[in-house]
Amino acid sequence: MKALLTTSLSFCLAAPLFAQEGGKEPAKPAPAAAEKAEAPKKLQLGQRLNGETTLLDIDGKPQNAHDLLGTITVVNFYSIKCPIQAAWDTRLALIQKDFEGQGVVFLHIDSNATEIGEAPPKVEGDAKPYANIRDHLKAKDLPFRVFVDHGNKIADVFEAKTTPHVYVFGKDGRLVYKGLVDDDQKDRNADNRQNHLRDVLGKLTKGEKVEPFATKEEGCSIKRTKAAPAGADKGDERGGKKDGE
Amino acid sequence: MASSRLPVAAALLALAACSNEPTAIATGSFSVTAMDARGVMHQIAAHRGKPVLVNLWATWCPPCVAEIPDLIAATKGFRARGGVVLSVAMEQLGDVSAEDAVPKATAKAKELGVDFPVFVCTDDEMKTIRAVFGVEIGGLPQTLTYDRAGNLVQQNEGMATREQFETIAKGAER
Repeated sequence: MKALLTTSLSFCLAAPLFAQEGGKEPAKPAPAAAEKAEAPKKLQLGQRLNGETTLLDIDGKPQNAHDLLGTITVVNFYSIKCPIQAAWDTRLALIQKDFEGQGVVFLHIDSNATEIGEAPPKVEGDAKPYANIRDHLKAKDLPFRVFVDHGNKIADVFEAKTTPHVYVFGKDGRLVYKGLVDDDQKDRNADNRQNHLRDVLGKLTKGEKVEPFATKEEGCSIKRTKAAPAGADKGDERGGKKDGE
Repeated sequence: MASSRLPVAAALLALAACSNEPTAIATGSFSVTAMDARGVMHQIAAHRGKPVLVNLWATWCPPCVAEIPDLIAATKGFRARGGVVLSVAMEQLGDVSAEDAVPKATAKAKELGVDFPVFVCTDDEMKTIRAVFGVEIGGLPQTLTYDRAGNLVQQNEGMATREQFETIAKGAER
């Protein structure tokens, strides 16, 4: 099972991050491979992922997907600044707590350039990068394992639009759900809400079949790194800084 | 960029009867009015006969704030030709209180040099706003365009560039 997922949940982010982590020049890819990397395949419901196998954690260390995946895997696109994500944090943490013991792995990915920067930060000595994420998790007592996605490569493969934006991979490694945690953003309707994520995980952990489906995401747009047009000097950073981000 | 045609004008007028009485603030170059989503839809419907571009944003949304100078610049010609730009601040979708929503939106709009009407939406749940707008709105920013007949002709999700805003505006004028 794990082997299945390992080959499926993999990302194109890995190679350049490995290279930068070690402070060495990355090996120049063959032209054909480079072209391939520029146009990663988009993940569709019912499909497995293809590509490399590494994520960068908030200690700045590349992690192999082999070591991260569970029987069932939840990927959530995360933000430490989005108030809509914050509204779901507690419920998401509770779902994680309830299902982690049943072989479900939760991976939270921050793809926001305004939070993680456009490239991995350089750190000296024993200092650890991404202190803002670490501090946020500690302050809110959140058990989330967060990875960073510089250049929003993973977000692009997933076609993730917002934070939160949840993806669930079943036991066969195929994407069976993407969308909302639940349909109760403000947590006002606990008795009657559609608990999409919890329900999907409940079925999957019981071995029940889940027909792939999606709900419309709700949240803050992911602040992607944008290639500035020639001669232009603008992008996410401008607004982010103005807004105190 | 999704595109669709939805007959909404009649429904909007009906909805308007249900909306709350808005609170308006006049500033030098733009007005700020607090109202619910139904009220916003009424405002859109009130401009039937003109192409309308509706920009949904929030002060807590960096890409939303970042694109507004381009929105202002890109729609000058559109507005000069009779097009209407309406700005809708969705402050309470985030963690902004009802009390702070109008002052925050007003201050940011002023800072950005906004010169078209700003509505501060008092609804605070995306599903309510979606239901009223009749559009699958996900994240902010979003830009919706309506043609002269009041039909939604385009939905642009995410941050737009000046060039994209120009294209979006032209789409509403067809």
